[in-house]
Amino acid sequence: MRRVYLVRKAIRNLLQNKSRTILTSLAVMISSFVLILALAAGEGARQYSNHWIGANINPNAIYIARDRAVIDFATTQNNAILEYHPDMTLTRDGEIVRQMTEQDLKELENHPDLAAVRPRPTLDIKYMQVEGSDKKFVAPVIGYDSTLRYSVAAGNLPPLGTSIEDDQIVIPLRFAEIMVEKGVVSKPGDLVGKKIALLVSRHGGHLTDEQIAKAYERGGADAIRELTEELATKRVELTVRALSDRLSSISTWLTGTVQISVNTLLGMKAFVDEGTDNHKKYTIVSAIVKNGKTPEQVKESLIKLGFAASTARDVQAFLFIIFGVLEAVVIGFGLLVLIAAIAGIVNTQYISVLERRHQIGLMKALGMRSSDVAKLFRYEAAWIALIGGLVGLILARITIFIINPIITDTLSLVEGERLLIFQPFESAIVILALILIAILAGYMPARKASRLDPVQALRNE
Amino acid sequence: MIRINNVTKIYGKSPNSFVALNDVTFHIHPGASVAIIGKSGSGKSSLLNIMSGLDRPQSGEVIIDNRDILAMKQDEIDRFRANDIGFIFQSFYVDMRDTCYQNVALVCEIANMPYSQHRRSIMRALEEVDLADKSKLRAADLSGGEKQRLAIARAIVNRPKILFADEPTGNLDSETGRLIEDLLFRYNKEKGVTLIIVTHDIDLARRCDLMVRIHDGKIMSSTEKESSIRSRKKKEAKERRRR
Repeated sequence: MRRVYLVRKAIRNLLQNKSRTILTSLAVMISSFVLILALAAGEGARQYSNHWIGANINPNAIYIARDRAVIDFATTQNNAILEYHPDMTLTRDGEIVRQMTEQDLKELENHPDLAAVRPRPTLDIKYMQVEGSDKKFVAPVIGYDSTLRYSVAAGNLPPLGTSIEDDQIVIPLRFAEIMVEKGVVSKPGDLVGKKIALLVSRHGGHLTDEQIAKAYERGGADAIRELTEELATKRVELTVRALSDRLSSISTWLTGTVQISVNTLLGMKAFVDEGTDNHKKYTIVSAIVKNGKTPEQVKESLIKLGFAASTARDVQAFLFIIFGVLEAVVIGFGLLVLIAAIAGIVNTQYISVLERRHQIGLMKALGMRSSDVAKLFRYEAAWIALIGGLVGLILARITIFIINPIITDTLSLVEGERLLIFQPFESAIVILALILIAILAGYMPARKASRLDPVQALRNE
Repeated sequence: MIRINNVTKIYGKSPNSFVALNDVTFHIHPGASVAIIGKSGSGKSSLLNIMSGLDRPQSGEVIIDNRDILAMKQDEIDRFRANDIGFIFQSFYVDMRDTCYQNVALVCEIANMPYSQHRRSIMRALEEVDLADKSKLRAADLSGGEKQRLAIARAIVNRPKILFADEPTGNLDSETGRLIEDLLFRYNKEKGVTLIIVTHDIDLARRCDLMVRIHDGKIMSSTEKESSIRSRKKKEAKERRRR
């Protein structure tokens, strides 16, 4: 029997059993839906992180620390007892890490393949105050990272690789909006050009006996308190250069901080830490790789020197691991559904063989070859998979179309950034694979049909 | 010429074996109508299955057109069934959900008839059984007699040399049964097709040229009608003269 007749007859048989066909292909449909969606999510995540890292991080940037725990996301030393070292400190995340000293910094600055070596400390301020307002605010402050690209909501920022001036400050748009709510300014843009005072404080205990005696002579105990306060706080006045919007797409980890120049920050930190173990020590340092070396090569050399380092590619690799695991989980789910689908096809086809005993017997009596009978059943299985696969594909496309804007909105991604990217080629392969698997699943029932004895099948009951 | 020589068919294994056909031998002249009659379990259906190549006996020969079909490979037997014989069953076995046209088309497809000839052959077969106007109707919507006529159309669409009919009127009332019989005999006479009917209806059997009585797997009698012998002899003499 010609293939075209068999294929047509297979379709007709399926159409004559519509509800059974639909139910059987349902599992195939879900499987294809999940697999195609997983592929779309995997590709979306890959492109997203590639795009983000390419757009936001200088590919030659390298982050260096003394302690691996600072760099390595996976290592944590909580609940561990560590041998004391004078350079240790407790980070904001509650981890005890070894800091870098001025000497370490010198060593890095003298490294032949590194340029723009900058400590990246965070600063705890007492408060900040906008000129002409008595409202005080507290926010995390970090040094301006010229290796990252920000988008600007108001004002302007220097080109990539250049820092802001030492008397300038960058405020996140979100903070400016809160200041508007609190009545500091009437609209966020008004902050640009305004002066903001940053205050940091340290513990007292820096007064000499002579200073105390002089103050007492001048104004008694009040004068001593005043003097203590004056010497324990440092006030820096800065001009707002720009309001930063989110980085061209990533989350909020850098846009939730106020930024000032690294020099100013280091000056203020030195004041706060003076007389403590943390004075002029830093947990992490950023630098740019030069001399045409790859960040990976320099990382190797730094590790040999006893540092820990992370490159832009490491950040990406870490993201890829997360995305990869997520994708694998979803694909695993799709494969589980596929197993159910296979069981469904086998079961349906077996029942179909029993139900259509007369039809099979008749076809064989009329001279249909056993191999053609088997083919007929295999084609039916293939059609079930094709129908299920295509419906799954269409549903996946619709879902991607509907869900992409929702994800973009929920994760505060930049407009036009998509996390699910339909993969036409891979999706076609998924459907072809489903058809192949269905044909294999239909093998046993098809064999049963082809071996049916027409005499038995056509015997009058 | 169909020659059945010493055919023995045993079902099952000893000691529970059952001899369905015991050394059966008889010959059928081309274009004859033959009735195989006997009680149920007498072996008449087994004989029909073996003659049509659906079943294989333990021993014996079935020679059709000088070829032993029992010596053929499965592929050849399939081709032989698809091209040279037609089947009519008591239970019709038409596909209820297919149209009349599709039911008949199945044979054309199995026999690999060129597609360009399908329509003409199918409509001609449907006209023979007076169902041409119902070609687009689903088989489920036909009456019992019409279903059997459809089955006949399916059996004759590829112009077979032999028509096998297994209790063709068994599921029909006597009047409808008579019409079906007329149809089969008319086709047998007009087209010169060998008609082999398995039945236990003695009236139907009497209309045939040859009546083979079978009992417990053995042929009890093989009676050829006087008129049939005369016309056959006349035909044979004419053949000889022509040679």
